[in-house]
Amino acid sequence: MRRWPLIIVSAPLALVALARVGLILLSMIGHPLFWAEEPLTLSEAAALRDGGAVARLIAAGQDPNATYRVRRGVVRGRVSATPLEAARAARRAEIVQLLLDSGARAN
Amino acid sequence: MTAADADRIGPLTARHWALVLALIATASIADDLLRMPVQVRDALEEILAAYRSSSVLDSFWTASFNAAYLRPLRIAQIKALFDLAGGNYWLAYRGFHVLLLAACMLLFTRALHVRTATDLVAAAFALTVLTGLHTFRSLIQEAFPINHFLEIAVFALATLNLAQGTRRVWTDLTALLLFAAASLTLESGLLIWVVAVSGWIFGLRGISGRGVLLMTGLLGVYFYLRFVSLAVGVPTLAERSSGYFFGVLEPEELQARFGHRVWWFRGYNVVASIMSVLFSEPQSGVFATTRSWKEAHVVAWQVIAAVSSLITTGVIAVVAVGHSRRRLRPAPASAADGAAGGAADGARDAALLGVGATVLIASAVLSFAYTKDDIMSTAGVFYALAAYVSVRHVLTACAGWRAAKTAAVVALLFLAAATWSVRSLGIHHVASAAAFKTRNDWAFQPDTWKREGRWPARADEQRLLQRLRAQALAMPAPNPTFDWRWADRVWGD
Repeated sequence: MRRWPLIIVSAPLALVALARVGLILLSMIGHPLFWAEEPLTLSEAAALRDGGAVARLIAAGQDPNATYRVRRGVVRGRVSATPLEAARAARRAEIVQLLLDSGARAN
Repeated sequence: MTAADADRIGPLTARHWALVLALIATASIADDLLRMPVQVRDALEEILAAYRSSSVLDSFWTASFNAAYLRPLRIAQIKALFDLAGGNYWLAYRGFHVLLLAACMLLFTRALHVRTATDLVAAAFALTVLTGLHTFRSLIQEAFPINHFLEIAVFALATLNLAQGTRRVWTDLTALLLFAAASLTLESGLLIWVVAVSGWIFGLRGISGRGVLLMTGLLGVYFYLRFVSLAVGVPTLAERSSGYFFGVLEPEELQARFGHRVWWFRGYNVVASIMSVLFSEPQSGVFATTRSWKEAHVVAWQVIAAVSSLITTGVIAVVAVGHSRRRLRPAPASAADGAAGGAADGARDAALLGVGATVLIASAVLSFAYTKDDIMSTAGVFYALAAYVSVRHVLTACAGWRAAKTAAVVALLFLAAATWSVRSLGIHHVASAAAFKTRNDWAFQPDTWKREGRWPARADEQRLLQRLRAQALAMPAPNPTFDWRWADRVWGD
């Protein structure tokens, strides 16, 4: 029985198994590769259509009317913005509504 | 053959290594499942109904008189888990999802009967096909709040294992119970009968002829109940949107285009469903890769899906045709593989191919009303079983080939294994993206239902929904903006 065909065909399959072991280990030490959540300010979450983060940050006590920093490229030409400004600039109507419902003032 | 005869690879036998591979895949996907919130769409109303119901029996009884579907056990299960949850609904539903996944992976691996090193490589290939196929994605990324399609796949695999095993007193009874439970859960549950009957026809006689006859009798009772006694119809064109060639048609468009020739549309659905499993195209009825090719912007994941499926289906076809011409030889009893019992292997391989083909056709027929990857998920599981049989056969046969022919075939199998490996790892990306979408659904949820006039009036029901929402919002869901730039191109979104 030739072994080399088995070794060649199994190589990528073994890599998948090893990658999965790696994923499990990373998860066990608290760094799940596919689940690493980038910390966002309320304005960044609003601009990036992250309704879940918006709702969670507001529930955690963040002010929907305050001004927060935004990383470059998230809201064009801005380094800080209110969540409502960020959502409007990114044309996220559903986030605008969520912010208004959560106490953000339109003006 | 005893365990001692089997190939030992290092500290374990080939069979145990196959189980280790299945457990690794299960654990890593389970880790994803346990990070996903309970779904909103197609799940929240069911949870609310479970809350309103007085008992599991009440849920079962009420669901028995639904005008469009006969799925009382589906609703009863949701209620049973709701009652067992003790307030932690996410853990109950996602925990059950993990149990179903584990059962699916272990029953799948058991059905392979891995004994040799060659079997192990083919098993690793099959597990990668199983977890890489697009129909498997729907078994992971969705739950209503239970993924009943995964449940049906588990029932089908359990039935196959019974059919492959030695006939015992309890085998027939278990098979009948599996059929009863599956058929009252989803229409796809009728596939249990298909597995039992086709298994018996193709020589898997663990379930006796009497058991198969009794199951056929139960199938008759099901049809009587559904179409005569309870007068439950079949889904109409007005039911939901469906893929058709290069786009998705809404119910109004479906009615306008196929109202007078519905059989054309149903025929399309059946053919599209078969092609979907064999070629990964179309998916959910839409020929997206063909459309991209016509528009000259094919993306990497489409190429990967096409290459992996074309090679694998080609190998399955060659082996199946060989079998139909009675050229499927039993595995040679070489010293390296210790393959005594090769004749039994050959018969089991032929049976698995036959059952797989029958399940594929039956699943496609069940998908006549609309195309949906979920409905073909059990067929996807049997496709992976057929891949095991075929790859194992080719790897065994190539021992007697010329070096050049062996090299060419091994290169093709390597390409298939590599592309399936990429697809298989995509399940983690897909799960994470699904979690983000679900958490967003929860964020907008009270307003969505309030706008649609579906927000419950009772304070206790509002509290239940708010509690579910709070649980969902507390869960991590990475924003896809920060994904690796290549992730969507390689794995799709």
